Parts: sequence; C-alpha cells; structure tokens
Amino acid sequence: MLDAMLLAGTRLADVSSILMILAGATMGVIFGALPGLGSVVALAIALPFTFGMDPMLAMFLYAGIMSSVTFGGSVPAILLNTPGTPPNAATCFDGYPMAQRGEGARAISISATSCFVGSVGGAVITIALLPAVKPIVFAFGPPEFFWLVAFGLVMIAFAAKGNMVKGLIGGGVGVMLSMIGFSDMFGAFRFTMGSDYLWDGIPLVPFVVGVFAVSELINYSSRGGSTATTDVSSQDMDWRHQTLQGVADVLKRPIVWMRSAAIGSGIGIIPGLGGGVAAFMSYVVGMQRTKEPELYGRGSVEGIIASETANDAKDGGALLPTVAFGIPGSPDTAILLGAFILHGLQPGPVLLRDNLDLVYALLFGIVVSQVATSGIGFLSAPLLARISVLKSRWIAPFVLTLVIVGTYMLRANILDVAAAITAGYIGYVLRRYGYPLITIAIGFILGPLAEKSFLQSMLISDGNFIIFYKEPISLILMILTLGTLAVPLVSAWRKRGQKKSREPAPTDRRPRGLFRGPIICAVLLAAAILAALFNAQTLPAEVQLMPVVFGTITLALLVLDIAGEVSPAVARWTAPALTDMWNNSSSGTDEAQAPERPAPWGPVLRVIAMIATYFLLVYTLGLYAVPVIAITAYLVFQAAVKLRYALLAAIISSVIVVISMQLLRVDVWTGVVSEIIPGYLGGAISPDL
Amino acid sequence: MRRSRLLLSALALGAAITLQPQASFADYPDKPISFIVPFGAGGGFDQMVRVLVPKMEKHLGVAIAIKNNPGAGGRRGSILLYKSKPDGYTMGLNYFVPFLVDKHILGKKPGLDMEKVSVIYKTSHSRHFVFVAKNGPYKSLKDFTKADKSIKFPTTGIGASGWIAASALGAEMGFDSAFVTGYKTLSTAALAVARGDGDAGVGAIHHFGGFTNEVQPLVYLGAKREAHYPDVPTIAELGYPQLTALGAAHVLAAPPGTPEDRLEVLREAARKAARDPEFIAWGKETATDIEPTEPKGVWEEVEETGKMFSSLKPLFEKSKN
Repeated sequence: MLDAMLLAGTRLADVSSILMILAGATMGVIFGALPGLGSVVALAIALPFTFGMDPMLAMFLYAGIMSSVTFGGSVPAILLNTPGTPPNAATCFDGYPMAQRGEGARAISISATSCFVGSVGGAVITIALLPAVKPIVFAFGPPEFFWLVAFGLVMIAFAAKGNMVKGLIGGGVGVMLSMIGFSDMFGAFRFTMGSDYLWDGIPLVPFVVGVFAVSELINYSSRGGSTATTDVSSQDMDWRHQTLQGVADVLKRPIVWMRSAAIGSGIGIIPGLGGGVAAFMSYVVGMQRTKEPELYGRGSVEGIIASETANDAKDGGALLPTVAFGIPGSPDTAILLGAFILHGLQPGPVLLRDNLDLVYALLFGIVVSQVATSGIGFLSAPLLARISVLKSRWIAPFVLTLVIVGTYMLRANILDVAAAITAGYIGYVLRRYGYPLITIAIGFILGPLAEKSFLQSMLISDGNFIIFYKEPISLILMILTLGTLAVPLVSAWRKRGQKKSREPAPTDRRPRGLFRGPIICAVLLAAAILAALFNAQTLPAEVQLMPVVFGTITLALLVLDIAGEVSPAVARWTAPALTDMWNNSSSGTDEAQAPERPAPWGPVLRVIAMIATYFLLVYTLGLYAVPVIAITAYLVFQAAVKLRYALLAAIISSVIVVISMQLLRVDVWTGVVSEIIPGYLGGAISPDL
Repeated sequence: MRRSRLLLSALALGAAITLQPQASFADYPDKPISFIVPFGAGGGFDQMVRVLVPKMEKHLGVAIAIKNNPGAGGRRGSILLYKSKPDGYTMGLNYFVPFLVDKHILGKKPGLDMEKVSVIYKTSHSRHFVFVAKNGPYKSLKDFTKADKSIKFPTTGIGASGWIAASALGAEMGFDSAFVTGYKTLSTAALAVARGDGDAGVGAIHHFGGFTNEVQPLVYLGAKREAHYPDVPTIAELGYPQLTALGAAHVLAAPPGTPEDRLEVLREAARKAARDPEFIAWGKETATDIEPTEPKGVWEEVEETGKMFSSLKPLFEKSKN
C-alpha cells in the first residue's frame, strides 16, 4: 500500500504529470462553467486522445478534469443563477443571493476553497475506506437505498422555508415531473402522451438549467436593474478583500466542511446516487443542523460550503466502487471505467492488487488539480464578480444564448432547448407563487430513485415488507428517517397550548377574490395532477404506485393551499402550524421566498414572448444566423446600446459559440428551413417530438 | 541524377493526385464524413467506433467526425441517421435491436422502416455471459431447468438486453425466468447478483469482472469460446446456436437511398478496418467478437433475431400481468 502510494507520488513529481493535470484542470473549469456541458463530455472528449498514452499520465488528465468541473460549474451558479452542472444547483440558493448583495467574489472564493477542502477531505476519506470498500458497497442494496432516499425526501420538509404547505407541494410537483417517461422496470410508457422525446423522461440538465437560469432570467429582465441589487456598483467593491474573506469564511467553519465532505464522499461511494444527491443532501442537512437557518437561501456562507464541499468530496468516494468492482459511482466515473478498459485494465480485486498505484495517482491527481483549480478561482474571482454588477439588460441576451447553446450541445438535440425554456416558464410561475425551487429540485432528483429502490426491494423479497428492516443498516436508516419525521411532531404536541399566546398572526393585506394569481396557479397544478392520476389508472399496478401516492398527497396539500388562499382563517391555521413544527420560523407568509415584489405581468409576458421568439428563430434559422441578429437587436432596442458596439458584442459571442461547437465536433444547428446555404443555414433535421 | 529522380517522383505524385478523380469511384469522398453513434460517449458502442474510425479514415482519405446522439435506448440516433441526407457523407451505427423490440415485443410501431436501412457492414458483436453467485445452488445451466422455482435475474429493464437474453434462454431451455429490474447498468446488476438480490445475471466481462471472487460464468452466449474464459462452454455447444444472435451487433449503416457505389466505398474501408491488427487486438482486450459480415449476413441475423423476439412476446405480456 505504501509502495503504491510512493510510486504514484514519485510519478506526480514530474513535469509531464503536472502539465497533464493542469491541462485537465483548465479543461474541466471551462466545461464546468458552460451550462449543459460537464465532466462527462470533457472526459469523453479527452478519452480517445489518451489511447496509447502511459496509463498513469492518462489518469492524471482524467483526475484533473473530474475534480475541476464542479468548481467551474459553481461560477455561473453564483453569478447568473445558472448551474454549470446539475449538482451546482444547490449552490444557486446562497451563491446567487450573495452575488446580488455585491459579494460575488467572496462567494466564488468560498466555492473555490470549499472545493479544495472537499477534494482533500474526499481523498483522505477514500484512502481510509479503501480496505473497507467491499462491505460498504455490498451493504447498500435496494432497501438501504430506499431509506437513504426516503431520508432525503423527508428533508424536503426542512428545506421548505416560509410556507410549509407550498414547500411540500413543490416537492410533490418535482416527483410527479420526474415520473414522466418510459418505465423500463416494467416496460410501460408513463405520462409520455405519445411523445418520443419524453421516452427517457424530462432530461435532468435542461430541467435544472431551465428551472434555475431561465426563471431567474425572466425575473430580472422583467424587473430591470442588475443581478446585484441596484445600490451596488463596481467602484465601491473591494473584490480582492472579498476573495480573502471567502477563504477565511471556509476555514473558520471546520465542522461545516468536514460534515459536508463526509456526506459527499459517503454518497459518492454508494453507486447510483450521484453529485446532485450529494450536494442537496449536504445542503439540507446543513440547513437542519445550523445555528442560523434563517440565512439559508439568502446568501448563507454555510450553504455554499455545504453544497460545494460535498459535490467535490463525492469524486473521491465515487472512485472506490469504480476501481474496486467496475461499478461507476457517478456518471463521470462511468467514462473513467471506459478509460480503464481502454487501457486494458479491468477494475476489480486484481486491479486493487496489481495497479493500486494508479488508484493513488487518481486520488493525488484530484488533489493537485484542485490546488490549480482553486488558484484559477482566486485569481479570477475579482474579475468574474464584476459580471454581477452589470445591468441585467446587458447580460440577459448573453445568458439566454449561453443556455440555448449549452443545453443544445450536450446531446445535439434542439428539443432539449425547448425543454429547458418550458421548464424555466413553469419554474418562474411556481416560484412567483411561493413554491420553492429547492423542493422542486429535490423531488425531481430523488423521485425516480425512491420509486426504483422501493419496487426493487419488493421484487427481491417477493412482496414481503420485512426486507425494509431485516438488515441492521436498513433498520438504522429507517429509525433515523422516521425519527427525523417524528421529532418535530412530538415536540409540537408537547408544546401545544404554550404557543397560543404568541404574537397574533400578521394581518393579511393581500387582495381578496377568487381570480388571483396564487389561486389560479394552485388550481392549474391541481388540475394537472388530477389528470395524471386519471391517466395513471391505465398503467400496470407497479407503474402507477408512486405517482398515485405522491399525486394524491400533493393534491390534498393543494386543496389545503387553495383553502388557505381563499380564507385567511385557514391560512393562519395550516401554514404557520406546519411551518413552525419543522423550522422554527414564525412567519407563515411567502416573504422568505419572495423578498422583492415580482414585476407586473405585462413586462413578464413580454420577456416570456421574447425568449420564445428567440428560440423559434433559432429552431428555424439555426445557430449561425440567429444569435448575431437577436443579440444585436436586443441590445439596440431594449438596452439602448449603440449599434456598432452591439454588433461587435454579438459577433464576438457568436464566434465563440461556433468555435467551441466545432472544437467539440458538435453539429452546429442550422435550422429546419430547407437548405439555403449548405452547412450554415437550413437543412437540419428536427428530432421526433 | 538525384535531382532528376526527385523531380520524377514529384511528377508522379502530381500525376497521381490529378489522376485520382478519374478513378472508378469518381471523387467520392472529398469532404469529411459524419458518423452518428446512437449512444453516449464512453459506452461500449462508442468505444468500438472510436477505435474503428481512425482505421476507416486511413482508407477513405478523409476525416470522419463522430457525433454521439444518445436517447431512447439507441432509437434516437438510429432515427437521425435514417433521416439524414443519403449522399454518402453521413453514416453511423444502426442498432436494430430496439426497433425489433418495439415491433415484436412492445407492439409499438418502430420509428424507422428497418428494411430500408442501407446496411454497410457488420464489424463486430459484443456478447454476454450468464453468471451466478459462486456460493449459490446453481453450478451449470442444466441446474436452472431442475430448479422448482423461477430463476431470478437482476437486470436493467424489461425489453433491455439482459431481459431479452434471460427470457430467450428460459424459453429455449425450459425454465421460468423472473426479474428484479431497475438496475442502472449491467454492472450494478452484476453487483446485485454478487450481493444476492437474485440468482443469476447476464453481462459482459467488464460488467461482472469486478466480482470474480463472488460470481462465476456458466455459459458464453456465442459460437466460439471466449479467450478470457476458455473453460466456459458456449451456448452453441450446448445445442442452442440460434441464441448467438443475442447481444449487440455493431452494424455500420447509411440513410436509405445512399447510392450503391458510395456504400461500396465505405464498405471496402470497413472491410479493411475490421481486419486491422489494432482493431483485432482491441476486440481481444475487451472480449468483443470481431465478426466481419457482409450485408446479406446482417439481414439474415436481423430476421433470426426478429423471430426469436416474437416468441418472447407472451413472456412480456405476462410480466406486465
């Protein structure tokens, strides 16, 4: 073991190794920062180049890429509310509010430091657990998996700040959306409405990018101003000081990052959970354990540490099952597995015996790459943070172009862009009426995992529930999950009567009447869920179980929600009662979710129409022709920029887009009109809807 | 003297270049060719293509750009290939299995007309083993038929390759197969077998190779013994040669209507690439059967597979209750 470590260490002290790691780190940061692209694409592109390369050098390149992508992805999450990769979505909740306060550099620096401590922590934990990997991986079968995911779903109740009812509804909506698609477990099409596009369900990347980036784009474009609140200007900012402050922020909170690193690497080890679960789980656990829960979601330092540390620590953890059994713990280790095989290495006991040095090389590489990545982060934070004080009318067209190009590039599927925009529209309406995005995202990520692990357990035990508490680990996890759910209930019951004398509920001055936004929105949601419930009746019993259970609960909550909106008496009773129980916050209004008054519907609809027009133009005329014209037109007519500057900016950004697509060998979308200029305008084939 | 020789060879080279267009294949190909892979980068199909394509480039003299177009179990990319311009500048892998599953098992109209696909060549075939837990009661495939209960296979999904193989095996040999579905990949399904979630698994060496202490292969679903496991019998030896069509055939194809002379140019390049020592070495390394096959043979296999799938339809209906 020590020999192997030494061997890997010696190889690391070599110029070509370091250069390889640096190349990987640079590539990783860029791929992470582009929404849509992530480590999977970066690794897949690097893969063929390493064919015939010294395996150790190749490992350094992969390690460089894997560990730097997460930091890269946090930068747009912080500055633009646009997660670069799905796990970075958990960074949006606090990174973006921090940038809005004018502390963009501090947030980026916190993220860079967290990523660093995360990968070091992850590597240390991984090395420590290497001998125990077999019992750990073998211990986590479907029943254990189920309780772990159930624990995550229970945490939705804690993540829902403000109005508990709306928070839980958000989780239910997320679960229901995740149920769409071909259920390969039982070979049935569920809620696909005959669409071939929905065969694989709503794809994760467009969904996350849409819900976060597009909905925020609508929000700030319709309101005007800049990402940072208007009283902040770049001159007042001491970006360098903020960067140092960010480092100190993390170092001062050892408990937070150690806990997050442990959660991250733990989840990484269990195959099939992935970075999204790691980041969100760590975030919600942090939210529950913190002394200052009211800061979460409003620019909490701890929130960024929780999400980014776990996200990076999971890379080390995910390596374990990959090298020990050839079972990838995350999508990027799946590619890594391909790389092992390409180099003639079969992961498994033999690899651990004969090629242990390669495993250490990967782990060391991850740490060294993180040093480089954090360096890039600290150097660039002061520069990048300036983006957040730019006027939103300047950045809006570029963010939208980034979203369109990013979601398109991942699978070269133009319909993914439509999916992202649709998800953004829905996300905007839901958050406007107080359904928190965090619970929607958790539900969407955990829903399918919960369903699979439950049904698998039942298939293994031939329908006997004993499987859920037969083994010690599942029993412990069950007690933990049910206990977490029960503790607030019990304490609320014990405190009954005491709280009667608390300050009277704030008088509700919202307008009355039945045809108000919140009520219409809730009624529409209820109608959609009702339709899903009816449709589910045609499905095989196993396939309808999960949507029926979650649909019914969500429907009941929606009835409560509507009743609360119609009658203030009901609202005073339900919302605060449930809310107080779980997160000790006294306010039952939507205030926590909507700190600012949303824009009137007029400007909002105009922005929505503009986004749709932009997409339709891209769809018909392609990515060569449209962005230049659209960005120029927007800048000239909406932002009053001089024509020549607008044109210059539009051309530069379009050239970057086209070059990056060509480097990635992605077919640049040329639009569905019949071919006008071969290869540039028209002639593209739209995928089946 | 030396100079004149140089001059001469330069002239010859020039002549060769200028004469090239008059060759029998006109000037095709004279620009890069797109190669559509209906699966994500890094997977089994993708790796095969990334090893094969450089060899084809060498023979064609133009670049081939690989485009991954994953989705719907390989259907999306194959359909995109089908709908592309038939000018010989778009080729790719056509994965027939999901469309055969649609037609014969799911009872859904396939997203493309299979007979119209312009088959170029089949280079290779990735086949699976059937394996069981070492400490379990089953020591050979025969034991499956003697069991008084159904054999439980952890696998990815109904209609997917593991399900097809186990169902076909059960139907042919006369044992009942049951499934624990929902594992993300065949590797996680192999872990499930090692852990004891079920009785037996289906997968390639890279799926179960991490559990050599826990599981052992019983049979290779091919015609020739696999070099890594020379002691494991093949399904053909056991008397079921029709089951060698299972697994993933790597069939190169072009959109319907691609001119035959251009298909022949591509076919010739594929023929040579499939016989390239490096490609053969890759096949050995990854336990992929290198099986250069002309279109006629490919169509026969497609028909065979279709027939086999039709016989699985009742099992599929049963599994849905």
